Amino acid sequence: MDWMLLLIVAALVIFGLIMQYSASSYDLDLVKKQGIFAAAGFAAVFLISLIPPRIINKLSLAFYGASLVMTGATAVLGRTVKGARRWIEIGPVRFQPSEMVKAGLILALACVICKYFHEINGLERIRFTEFFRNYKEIDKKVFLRERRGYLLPILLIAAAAALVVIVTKDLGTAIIIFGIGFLILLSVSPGIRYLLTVLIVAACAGVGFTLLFPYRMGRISAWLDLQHNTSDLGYQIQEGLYAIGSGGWFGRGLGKSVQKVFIPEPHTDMIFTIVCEELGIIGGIFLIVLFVILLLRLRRIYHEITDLYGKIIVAGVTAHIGLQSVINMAVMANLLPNTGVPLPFISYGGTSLLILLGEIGLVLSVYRERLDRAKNNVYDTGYVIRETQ
Amino acid sequence: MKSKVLNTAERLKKRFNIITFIFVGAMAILVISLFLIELINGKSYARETLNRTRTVTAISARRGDILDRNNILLASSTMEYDLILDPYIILTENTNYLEVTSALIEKCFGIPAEEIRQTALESPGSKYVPLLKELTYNDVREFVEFSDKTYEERREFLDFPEDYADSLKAKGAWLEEGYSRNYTYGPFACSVLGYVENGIGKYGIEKYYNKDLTGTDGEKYSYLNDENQKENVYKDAQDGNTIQLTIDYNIESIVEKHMMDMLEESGASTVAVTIQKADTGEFLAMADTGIFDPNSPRDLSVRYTEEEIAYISDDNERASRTLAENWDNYCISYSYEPGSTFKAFTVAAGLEEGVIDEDQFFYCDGSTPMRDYIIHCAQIDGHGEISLTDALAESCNLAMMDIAEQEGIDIFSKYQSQFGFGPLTDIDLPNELNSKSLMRGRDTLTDIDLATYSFGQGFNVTMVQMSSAFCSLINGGTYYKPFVAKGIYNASGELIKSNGKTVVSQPVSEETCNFIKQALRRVVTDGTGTDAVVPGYITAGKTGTAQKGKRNEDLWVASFIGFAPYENPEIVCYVVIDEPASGGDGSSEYACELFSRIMGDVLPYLNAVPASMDYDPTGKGSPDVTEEEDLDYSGEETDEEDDAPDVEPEEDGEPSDEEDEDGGEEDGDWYQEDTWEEDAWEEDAWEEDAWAEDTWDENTWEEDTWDENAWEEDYYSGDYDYGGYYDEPVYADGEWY
Repeated sequence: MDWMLLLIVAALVIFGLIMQYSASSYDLDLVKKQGIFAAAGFAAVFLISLIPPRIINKLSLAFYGASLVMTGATAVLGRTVKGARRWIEIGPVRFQPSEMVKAGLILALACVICKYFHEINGLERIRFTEFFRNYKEIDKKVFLRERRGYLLPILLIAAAAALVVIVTKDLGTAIIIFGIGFLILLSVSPGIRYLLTVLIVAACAGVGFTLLFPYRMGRISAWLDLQHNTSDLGYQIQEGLYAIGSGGWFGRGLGKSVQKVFIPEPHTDMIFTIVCEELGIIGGIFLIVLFVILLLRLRRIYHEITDLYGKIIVAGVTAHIGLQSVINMAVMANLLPNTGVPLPFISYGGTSLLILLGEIGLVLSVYRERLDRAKNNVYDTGYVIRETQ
Repeated sequence: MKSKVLNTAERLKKRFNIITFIFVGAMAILVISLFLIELINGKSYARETLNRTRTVTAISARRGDILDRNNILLASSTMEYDLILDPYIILTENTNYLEVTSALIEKCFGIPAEEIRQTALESPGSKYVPLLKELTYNDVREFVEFSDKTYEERREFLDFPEDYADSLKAKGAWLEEGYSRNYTYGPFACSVLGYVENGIGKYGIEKYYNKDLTGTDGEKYSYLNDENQKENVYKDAQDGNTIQLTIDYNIESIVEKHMMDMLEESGASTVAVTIQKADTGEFLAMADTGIFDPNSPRDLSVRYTEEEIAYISDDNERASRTLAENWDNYCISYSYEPGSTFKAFTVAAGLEEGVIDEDQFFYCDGSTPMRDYIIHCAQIDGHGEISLTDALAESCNLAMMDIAEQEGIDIFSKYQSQFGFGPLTDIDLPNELNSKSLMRGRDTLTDIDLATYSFGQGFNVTMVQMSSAFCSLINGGTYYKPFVAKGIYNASGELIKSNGKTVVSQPVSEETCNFIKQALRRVVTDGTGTDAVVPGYITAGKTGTAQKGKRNEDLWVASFIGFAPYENPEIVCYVVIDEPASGGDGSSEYACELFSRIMGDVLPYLNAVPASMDYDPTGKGSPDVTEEEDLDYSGEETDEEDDAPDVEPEEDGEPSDEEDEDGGEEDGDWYQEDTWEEDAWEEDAWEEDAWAEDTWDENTWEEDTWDENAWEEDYYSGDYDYGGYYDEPVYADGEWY
């Protein structure tokens, strides 16, 4: 059990709850709701950390599949909030399946890559071009089977991202999903050409999607020309910038934000601007530093873990937290177009918090088992990486 | 195989380090960009948010009123409203505001709803778009009451369908309150009052007492408190003080009426009149014909006909000059040569210094050489042997030159300054003309100046100077500082400052005063000012017909300065007719006539007791009256007067009752001193005598006209060089001074 990691995460979650209380203009019900999710999340952390990774591994593809099914179900059962179907309501609980997909993808990729890692790792270069060049001669089945270590991860990523985009029309989540997948591939793949191919295909898909749904263009043009854009999109970011800038170095003081009146739902995606306004630039930097500490702690764990499955899990979680926090804060600082990505642990959102804490549980689970695996060198999950001698 | 495994471990380590490095690098960029946002835009963003969350709205203070001496309201401020639209609230807070608010504005103010919609959409981010200005409470009453109505009443008021879902609250339009200045009687006393533009007093009392009248604006300070609730803090406005004038509404009205009539009759460019209390220096009336309506100071229609306005507006410079001339108070901002009215001061100085004698005789042969020039008397063939009293009554120039010569430059200049000619009088009105440069003092005065100064030519005075100095000449010799504001009251009506009489100097003795008074009485009974007789009252005064500007322009200023009642002077009335159409010819008759008309109305109003004409038959109306008799007459009258105060205190009750009825708040002693003549009024047959006096006037007519014609005639005959008044070089420049 890495208590340091838990401590950092707990600090972030509590900080998030306090900021949500302030940003929502003291909406206690809202904070209670989030608090319940946080409590459930920490319970999940301990529970999951007790589950051996091999059991998790067995369940991972099922979880991935379930998250895709639930996401697809939102198209039918989903509750429409502000023009987008992203939530499923089960009793009093509102759930956002697209958040599940992120965790599901990490698990599924870990499972699949471990299983076929010996195949891809043996190949210095993969020549997909051969497939077309010697189309008639080669045994297609064998060819594809030999390369399933490359192809299956791509399929998993593409299926998750495409489903999320098509069903929820939420490009932000889709980008995060793709990003997580891509960074996992980056962390394991021996070939650079393969990664570049994935990136180019994804970029083409992204451009195609943007052209297909013109309102995405609006967000980009709003970002490019904020000062003259009086539309709702530009307006939000401008108000956020006012909040960041007006707080000064040390902020107005906790609970004294005035911009929360002008920022729509300041306790969700834009909470970072309220942090900056109330606690100043120093407060914003403090939060960034917390994230950096978290990422460095995950890196330390990554290096301590000796088995591939654990490493891929940690890499996925790191990618998830790192991507979302960087993208969210970069949007607030107007460095990126508005994408609608919540700030991990800090933004209001039960599903997101629950999933993130669950992922922390996964990390702790694989961390707990690291020594056993080093001893045994036996991994039914797949591949062993020995300590450097 | 082993090396491959090792390679893989190395690779995974390296790759993950790259990933964390990318994230940490991105975080570093974020920190930098936060710094940049704060450094570059921090202050302006902070200001921007501050502006939104804290609003300071001015609560305008009410400008103080201006009252006449009997508390008649002359100028006051009333609340007015501006309708302000707030498109930001209308467009962002609730989509129904646009419909409801515009419907309400259409209903209350008649602006089409579509137009308001357009206005709002044109500037969606603005919070302040004025729609209508200067509305009265009646205009906005429906709008104000709307928010107090029930839902049903609101719905009916707006004619909205019954199933209209919204709560029908109209937000996004509000009323800004302010004050507008109202002058109850339009152009009445405009020269004294001035006007207000953009809350700042221009001209007159409004300017001089602007600070007192303005008050201090309050503030409404709104901010979001820690609970994000809007809170308001009020700092109340301190309303301006009220100024009570010494001007009497009734007297001013009388003066203005006769003044405007005389303007038409005489064809003068300006007629101006002041009435001053002789024993305090306060003005009861001050008016000139350059009138305007302070409610709309740029509107010329009060004063001019349509053709005249068309002509004036034709030229921008002409229009602004005309406006400025009207706004200016002629009585304090214009100067002119006083002419013969000044002779009384020359005589007074001589008597006071003992250089001449009350019984002294002078010889006037019609003209006297002065350096290269010959200065003529008004009566071209001379007055011959002439007494001091007659010299004043007949307005003899040569006698005055004689007196001034005996006085010498030192004494003459000393009295000039003691009578307040030259420096400012410091009256509590703005733009008083500094005539000091228009007059030579002791160091620069030459003997020719002395000669012409002695009969009031060659230097400039203002009406205030002349009137105030004249008061000291007939009130026993005390010069009081002139003033027009009697008291200042704060908004709750407490007196915070009171103006009273201020003694400035004591130029002459009572003895001299008495002589001057009886000599001036002679002016009216059988001198140059017989037209100034006021039927039923004993008045006295001095005429003046002075040349103005360049001598060849033939511009004249006719004037009459007189006082009443004769025995115990209460008021001094000074009438100036500037540039009468008749030129110098007979123009002083206009002045006398105007004086007579004004005093004929003012004296009864003041409860001044009419004189009995048969009180001393020998002293009145007879052309044969001699100087001695005249002196006797005045002596007797003085006795009678002296008796009066002895009796008066015992009979205190009755007269003062009467006064309370008529004079309102007026201080008692104003009229009481005159009650001694009350019974004389009853028994008297003054009308016959007055007629007799008038008839007698005709005999002196010819004599009189000489006074007016002399200058002109002399000029045309080439006999008299007017330039001789002045030093050669100055004249050669074509400028007077």
